Amino acid sequence: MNTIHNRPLSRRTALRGLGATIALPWLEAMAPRSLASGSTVRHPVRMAFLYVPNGVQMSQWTPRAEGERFELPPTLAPLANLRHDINVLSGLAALQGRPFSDGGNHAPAMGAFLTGVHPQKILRCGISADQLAASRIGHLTRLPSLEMSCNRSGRPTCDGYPCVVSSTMSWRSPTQPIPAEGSPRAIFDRLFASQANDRERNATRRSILDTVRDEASALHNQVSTEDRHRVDEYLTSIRDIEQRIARVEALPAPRLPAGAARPEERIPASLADYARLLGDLMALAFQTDVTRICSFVIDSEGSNRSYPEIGINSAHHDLSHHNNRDDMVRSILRIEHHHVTQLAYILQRLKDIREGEGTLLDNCMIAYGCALGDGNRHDHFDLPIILAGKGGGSIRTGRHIRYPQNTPLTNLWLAMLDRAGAATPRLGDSTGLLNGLS
Amino acid sequence: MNRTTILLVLFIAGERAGAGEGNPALPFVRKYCVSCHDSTKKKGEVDLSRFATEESLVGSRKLWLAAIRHVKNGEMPPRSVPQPTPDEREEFADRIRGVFRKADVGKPIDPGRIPIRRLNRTEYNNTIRDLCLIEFEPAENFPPDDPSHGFDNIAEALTLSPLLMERYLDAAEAIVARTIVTDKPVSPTVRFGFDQFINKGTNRPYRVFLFTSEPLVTEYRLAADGDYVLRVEGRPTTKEIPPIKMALLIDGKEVERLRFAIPAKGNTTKLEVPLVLTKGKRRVSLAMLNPARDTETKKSSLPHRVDGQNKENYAGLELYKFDLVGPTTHPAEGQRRILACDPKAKSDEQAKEILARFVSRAFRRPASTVETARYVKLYQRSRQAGQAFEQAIGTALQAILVSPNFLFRFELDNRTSPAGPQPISEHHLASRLSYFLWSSMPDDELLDQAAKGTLAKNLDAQVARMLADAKSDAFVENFATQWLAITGMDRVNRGEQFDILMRQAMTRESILFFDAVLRENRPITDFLDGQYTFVNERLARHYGLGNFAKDKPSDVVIPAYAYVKLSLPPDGPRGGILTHASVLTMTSSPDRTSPVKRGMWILDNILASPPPPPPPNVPPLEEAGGKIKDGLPLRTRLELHRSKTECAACHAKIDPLGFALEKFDMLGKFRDKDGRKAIDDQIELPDGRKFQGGAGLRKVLVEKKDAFARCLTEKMLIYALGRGLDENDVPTTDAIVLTLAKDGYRFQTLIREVIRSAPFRYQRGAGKEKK
Repeated sequence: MNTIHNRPLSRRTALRGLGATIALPWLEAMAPRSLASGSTVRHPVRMAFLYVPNGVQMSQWTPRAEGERFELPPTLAPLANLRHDINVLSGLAALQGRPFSDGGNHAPAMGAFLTGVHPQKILRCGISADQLAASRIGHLTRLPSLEMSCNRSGRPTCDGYPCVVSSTMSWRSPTQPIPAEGSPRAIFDRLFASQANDRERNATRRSILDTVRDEASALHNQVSTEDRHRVDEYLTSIRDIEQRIARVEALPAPRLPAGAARPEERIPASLADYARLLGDLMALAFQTDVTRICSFVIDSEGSNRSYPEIGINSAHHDLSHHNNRDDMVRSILRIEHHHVTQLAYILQRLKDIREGEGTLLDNCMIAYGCALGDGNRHDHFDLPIILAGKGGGSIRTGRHIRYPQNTPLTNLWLAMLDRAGAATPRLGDSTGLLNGLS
Repeated sequence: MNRTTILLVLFIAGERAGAGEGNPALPFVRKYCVSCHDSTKKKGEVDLSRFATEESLVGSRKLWLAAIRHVKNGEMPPRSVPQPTPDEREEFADRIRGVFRKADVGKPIDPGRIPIRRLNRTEYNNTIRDLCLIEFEPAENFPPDDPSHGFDNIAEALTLSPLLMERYLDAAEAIVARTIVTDKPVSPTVRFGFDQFINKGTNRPYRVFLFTSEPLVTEYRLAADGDYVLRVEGRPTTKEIPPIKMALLIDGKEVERLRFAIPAKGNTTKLEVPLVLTKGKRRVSLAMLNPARDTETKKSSLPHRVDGQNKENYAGLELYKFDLVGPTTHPAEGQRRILACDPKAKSDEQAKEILARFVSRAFRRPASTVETARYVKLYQRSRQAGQAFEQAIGTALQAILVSPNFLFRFELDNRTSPAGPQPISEHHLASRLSYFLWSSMPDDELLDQAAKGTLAKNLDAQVARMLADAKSDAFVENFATQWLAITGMDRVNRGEQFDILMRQAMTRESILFFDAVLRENRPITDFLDGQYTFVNERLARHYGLGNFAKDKPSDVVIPAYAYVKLSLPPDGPRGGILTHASVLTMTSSPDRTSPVKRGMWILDNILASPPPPPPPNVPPLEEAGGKIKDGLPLRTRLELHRSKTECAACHAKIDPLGFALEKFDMLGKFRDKDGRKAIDDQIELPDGRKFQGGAGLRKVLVEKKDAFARCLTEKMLIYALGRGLDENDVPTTDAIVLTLAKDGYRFQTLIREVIRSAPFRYQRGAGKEKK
């Protein structure tokens, strides 16, 4: 994607003297009229990664038929109105999430999901797909990427790992996990309110950051090699904020659509309400082009959440080890159905938003799934994965595609990065671009 | 501290090895290892058959430490061959460690190194409180700190993200805006606490309940006329009642109406009422205008609920804060202290004085001139950009509050040191102490001692002083709740009964119990079998204690608003921390008890012998013992589970401990039956010992008090050091457990010995980098 050539000159002048080269985002309102009405307009491609834990019952998830004439199994029934907007991808695997010699099934599964790297207990993993994308195309928007979670308050199942491994999917570097944000209001503020362009405040912040960078650089030479990465985290965080200030000054303020309001600080009690609220925020962020990349933990891996909202008081992870007991299987199926219901809501939100000739969903790639297949057995292959949206026309939807057993999930991430203008040759255990999507 | 103690903690103690002893791990190696790791197969280039003597083990220490790790983690021997029992694994590790220990006698202990530590949320809040002298919790909006090794203060897991850095910048701005106030005079000089107005409770109440229109009255003795602020924080106890209206009366006259509804944000409603008061005795009272319960008859106007526990009794207001602050003066104490400077000096000189002092306090050590100069320069640039004096100082303060030396604890003084353990600097010792016991920065006394170089010499006296300070409540809350794994109770779902009052009563019981063991310097075995506990009305009702006891109700009336210490019948099922509702609830599933979780909890948090993680891809149960019918009792189902060999070894260790507590339901209430089925809590351990229920379990655990002492020592070392432990720490743990046993297992001895230990006071020299 390359929109900069079409940009009206007046916008460029605003960038002068910033000392930073910043490409500009695509906002429909800013486009020359001739282009906005023409069919040649290309809207930015957005991508999101949605995670649900504890595997699913694959027998009720995987369509029997392949190709376009697939039927929707019971768990996917909520997607009936969206079946032409999704692809069901079977056969993918996240084998780096296996326990290997260090034990534990859930934390490593989550750690490997977007990285394709087996996490270590000393807090090492790999860069994740979303953060890799952010490093390539994040500078085009006010916020490089958004990381959200509906489970930031309970203790995740840690399996002897640092708990962050099972509470976020996002890793900026092999040593720097990016904690997800759980407060709806804080997410909204991060997207919109704190983007207020107060020049005096920005100037003060800049001089503060200059001063502390000085101190951090001095420390960088003093600390031992083991500690250096922490100082690096500090320095990159400072640089990130400086770049954000520059972008906030350079880019027009996002225009909130009518009806979009700052959410209450209260965290919704039911997962359904919570996931929908964060889903709304994601849709809003995509619609206003504040960011194009989002990782969204609907629930942490190994979570023992119960679902009184649908009458299930047993714990999700406990239920996943049902040993084929009928009552437990029935309960967990309802949870899985409930999760897909929230996905359907979020996808419908994106679909209801017009963008150019089509819908926002058409310009999205929304991946939904889990790093475990059959949770009862802790399988790390045959994963439940849905890819929704047409990726700006680069993906043919409405199909069930079966890949050869153990095709790395990271191949899908590579294919998504490629379509978002963030092509990269490798990610973790990837072996190449996932084919068959176009 | 005398010289003998120093020797004891710095050098590995014990009896020296005799020459030519045989390898004590040989039987294990022959039984489980040599089928792959012998001189012919040498799988993975490892031959374990050639180690016949103790000396040979010591000569290949790295290899054997790796062997211990693999065996303890269940990674070796591979699952395809016969598996040792957990006890055999333990014994293998102990024998090899014993060899190393003997060989190491007299050698210095390797203290390890603590990586750079970022302040966690709690530490940040407390540090700001003590640095700026303001009552403000700026870290409320920070993302939670993900725990590691069971605690949220572990150096390695305290990463920094751009999001958090943004929050630090915002927080610094807000803190400075509250600390340096130039336009309006609002800040407290005197703070009247909650304790003032409740004189009925015994245990420092942290909240009270109001259920009827009977007013709560308190008297404040005000030393001066002036503007005061009454800070009230509370919430209705249940959402079934309409918002609560309260009248605030001063000397009997109503001055304000307050309204408390279930808040949309957070847990409580926080109100600030400005008051103009004259000096002398002022009577401040709070009366409910629309109580759900009638004052006279104590009867509730709410419909009786059949499902819950007489819930209507609890329809009222829960009050957390009732602080009168004032009289407001200008400037506030924090501001005065921070901005104090030579009034005759030029403003640039004043800025230098102010910033040099603040930088050193914020960095918790004397700042170098280069360090101070950075912030003075920022001040000057801000002045040149047109900021007023206070504003420019404020900008520099903001920068200091987001600087790495404030946000992180660096201990750089091993840079030029030779090999071998090096004592950390006095200032670093002050910080290690204060963040361990107070979760906050060192106070003036600690910093003074460090500056004079007398802190290490006066360690015991300082520790005693710190424990006596109310700030040590931070240690009680943070360590106790994380060790017992009862944090996050307000985020789990356990049905209707498990409301906010119940959750708080449960947490409070455990915190007060821990507090009592610490403050009264009781033996740590009280955690296992202490025949007392702390309850309020709600919890007493839940447990059936005091005047709520079914059999012999005592005439002890347990108040709703405060906690009282009750002794427990020695032959009863309850005793020690294990039968606290908090622990029993958090080790249950949302809809039933979980003997496996309870057993694991005991192994993890009491006995320090967690079994290796379960094997990957556990086959479904029906492959193990035919199709499991849904109706079978839990115990039978688990026995079937245990009949599978690869599960058996560990579950034989886990399950009996959990089943001993089966007569406590998922909320820790005592029961005889699970539904209609009678509960069998007759337990037989793998070694053949038999006991029954909670009372029996207590006895069994007290017999294992050295294992418990080791467990608690390890947990406390992890919390104190902010890092996980490794083999190098074994001699330290050994020595502490030994001293503890000699000293009657007194809790304060444990704290003192952790602080005296080599890893706490020393760090690995730069010349030596192990591993």
